[in-house]
Amino acid sequence: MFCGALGAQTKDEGNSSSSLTPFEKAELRRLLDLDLRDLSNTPIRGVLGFEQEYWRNPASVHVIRPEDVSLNGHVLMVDSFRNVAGMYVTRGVGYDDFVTMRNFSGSATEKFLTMVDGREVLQMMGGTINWTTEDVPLEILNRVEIIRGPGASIWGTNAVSGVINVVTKHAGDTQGNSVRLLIEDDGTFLGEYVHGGQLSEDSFYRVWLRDQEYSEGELMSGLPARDDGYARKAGFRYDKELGMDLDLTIAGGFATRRVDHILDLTARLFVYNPADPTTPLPVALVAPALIPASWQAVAVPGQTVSALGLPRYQNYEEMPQDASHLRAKLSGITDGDLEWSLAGYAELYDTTLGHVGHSWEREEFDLDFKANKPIGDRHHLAFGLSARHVSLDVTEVATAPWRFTAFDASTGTFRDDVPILDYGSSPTSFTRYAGFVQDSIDLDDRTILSLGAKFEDSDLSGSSIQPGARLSYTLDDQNILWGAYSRAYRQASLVERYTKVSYGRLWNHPLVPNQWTTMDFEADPTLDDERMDAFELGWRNRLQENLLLELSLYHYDTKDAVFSGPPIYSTSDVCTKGAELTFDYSPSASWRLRGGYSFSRGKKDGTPQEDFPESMSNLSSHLNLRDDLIFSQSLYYTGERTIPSAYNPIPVDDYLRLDLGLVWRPDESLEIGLFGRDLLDPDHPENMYNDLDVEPGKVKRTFLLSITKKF
Amino acid sequence: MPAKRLLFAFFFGFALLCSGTCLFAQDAKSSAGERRTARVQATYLAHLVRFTHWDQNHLPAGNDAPQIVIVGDDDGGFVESLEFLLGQGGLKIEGKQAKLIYFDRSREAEARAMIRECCQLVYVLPSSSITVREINTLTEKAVVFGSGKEFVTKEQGDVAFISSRNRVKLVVSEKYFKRTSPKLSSKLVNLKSVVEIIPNPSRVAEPG
Repeated sequence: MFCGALGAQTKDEGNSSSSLTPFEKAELRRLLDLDLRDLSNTPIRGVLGFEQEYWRNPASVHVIRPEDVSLNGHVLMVDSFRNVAGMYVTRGVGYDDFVTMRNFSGSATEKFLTMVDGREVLQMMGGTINWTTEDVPLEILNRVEIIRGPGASIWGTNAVSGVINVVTKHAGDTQGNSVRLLIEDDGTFLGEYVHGGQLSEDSFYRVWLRDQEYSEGELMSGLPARDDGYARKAGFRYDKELGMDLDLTIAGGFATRRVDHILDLTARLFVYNPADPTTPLPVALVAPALIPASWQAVAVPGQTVSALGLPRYQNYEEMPQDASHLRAKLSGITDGDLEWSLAGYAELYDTTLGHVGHSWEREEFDLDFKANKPIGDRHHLAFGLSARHVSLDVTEVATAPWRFTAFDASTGTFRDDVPILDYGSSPTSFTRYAGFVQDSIDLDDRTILSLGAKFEDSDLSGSSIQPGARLSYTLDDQNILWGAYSRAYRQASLVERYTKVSYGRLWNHPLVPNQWTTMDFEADPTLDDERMDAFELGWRNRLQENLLLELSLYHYDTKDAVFSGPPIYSTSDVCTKGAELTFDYSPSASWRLRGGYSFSRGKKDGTPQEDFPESMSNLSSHLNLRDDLIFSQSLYYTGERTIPSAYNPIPVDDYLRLDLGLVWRPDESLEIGLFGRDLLDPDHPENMYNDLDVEPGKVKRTFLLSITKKF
Repeated sequence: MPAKRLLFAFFFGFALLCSGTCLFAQDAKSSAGERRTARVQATYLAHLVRFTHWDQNHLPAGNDAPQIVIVGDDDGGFVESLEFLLGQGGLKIEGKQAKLIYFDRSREAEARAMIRECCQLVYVLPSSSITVREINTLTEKAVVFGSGKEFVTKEQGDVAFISSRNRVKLVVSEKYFKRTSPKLSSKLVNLKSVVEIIPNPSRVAEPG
């Protein structure tokens, strides 16, 4: 029997009013895109700092989804950070990505906290992140949450200029097989394979492999960049539902990378200058005959560096890195609405920075407990405890060019084995304990106040309290205002604190005439943590569900900020002000536009900083030409800046980058993309390790073919 | 400016800003938690409809749209949320855009007529006086949704939303998986943390 029509009564005649706010409508669209597992994890009452996408969140938050990576023709997730206002992403040579945020250090030292599934991935030794090692296959990526601004009251030390939180998918959400292949016209290749299966009714697994092959690029001078090599990774994840609201996750990964890296030796040999002992003269200019044979072997004939016209010397060495980690997490929700997780991490990291003759093995163990619970109708308490133990095994060697006899003042002997970096007998074992508590208080239907603090005690930086207060105020259905005050700390890296740096050799020192002596500076174990007081104001406006505007203003006041690089690790007081304006607009169901503009200005000890571009902007458009064809456009503007250096500062002009792409999805299992990147310019420089690299690599126009197949 | 003065100026300025803008603000939505629960429930419903199979003879003839009937007074924005999802194309029954019809308590007589005539899904809001037993006498073609565990365990509804452990969860009658139409995909059985399945020994006769 078929249903019959009911005539006039079958039209929409509901007596409900359309009174959803634009924010609510936008959230419904987001919820509709979630799968059932993610929907089931949507809290009824969100906790600030845990649920980033809630529109009343008093913070600048940007969430990157896998589609943001694939539709913009990005290879790694770090490339997609270019679409986040306030983030400055640059490429050095082919395998080097630099990320900084909100005018905080244009050098390689990341001053924000990055976590992958809760695991801190910042390297204690150099304060850097290896973005290749920490990247994951796109198929297993759930989202990347980027919280601009300090989040120390929950996340803790090093969450200074922001937090990047990478979350991978549940193994049950990656069932079957997936292959992703990308090849660039210069031969750079990325291949990813993910396989997921079900072991029982309530347990799932996945395994994955990834291979990235770098082809050799060029430096700005036209010399080969010697940046070919490979990065390979493998990983697994096992998820089991132990019961109603009790889940177990065990995951691990192994990464290996083999590339070469350079050390600039151009301005390392000097002759004592009796007229001005503080300004020694470059040997190459005043007495080239003194240059040792081992140095001559690394000369680059016909090439000069710096405004002084110094002859170029450089040394390439291997820079192998192997990393493996294992993590286990138990999480659940009790009948009393206590949502908790207990996670343990173990990591082994083994690297050699051959160009500076510095190697270390790091063993790390972390234990982390987090919980949150509603208290009455108005309070939501979040709290946690964590412990971390790190031990290091550091070794140094003198690289080949440096193996000539020089007087080492620190030992009072002549040596030919003085390493560039000398960790010596500095501490190699560090323990850190931390706890945090935060209360999110619904003051009324419009106002949420969040108060919290993190307490830390560590061998490295003693005890600290990092408080934070955030307030969100709902002005009306379309407008939210928020403000925040935070105090955050950044630990000096182990290199900055403990490593003696022997950066050059001096000829004819009055105490050692007609001999070489070492030029070095000691580490500074007394370096305080950088302390930052941050003030933020934000406005979030949703005129309609398809248009979101956000404005964030910030003022950072930082004491004892460390600026690395020879001749010394100096600390400075830095004042930074800035603003970010972003929008997300979908003019129609088939067209989405997103973009942002950021402005920031910093002063170091009163002097304007030039190592970070003042203005940056990005615009991306995804237009569905047909149901199965998407036209992707991305435009990026980056203002001018200078790569700082003691002897060779390199100005980088502003640049405009245009990427265009077509993505064809003939069915749900296949996606083919063709992209042209940097179409406006054959090449341009972006960045390098100042005073380690000689010159930036060329970031070239490239064409990329991507194929993703699920089966 | 010293940090303490800056801190004071910041909070004073922000408080002033908030106070000032209060004068111009429209009323904010009340019961944010309830409204959020309603949004999640509406989205669940949209998902469950996608995972449900109706036999052809339980669907409207020709090109008529399948119908979802909601009965009872709605204070939390559930109906509005569902309407919005419908507009987004997120509410399809066997591939066809569904039609949403809402009757508050004052119009329950009309609702009964509609359910009897033709509908594929009935959502009974807590304030409604219409019972599952009554719906079952009116139609065999509709899956019946409601709230609270007892809606399934005692009233013999098909699916109930419950709020537990700061989440929205589903209580689903086993008969919804086992009958031939309307039948929920067994894929949902795997989501143990979301779905609690209630065995139903007193199964109603298969509709035909």
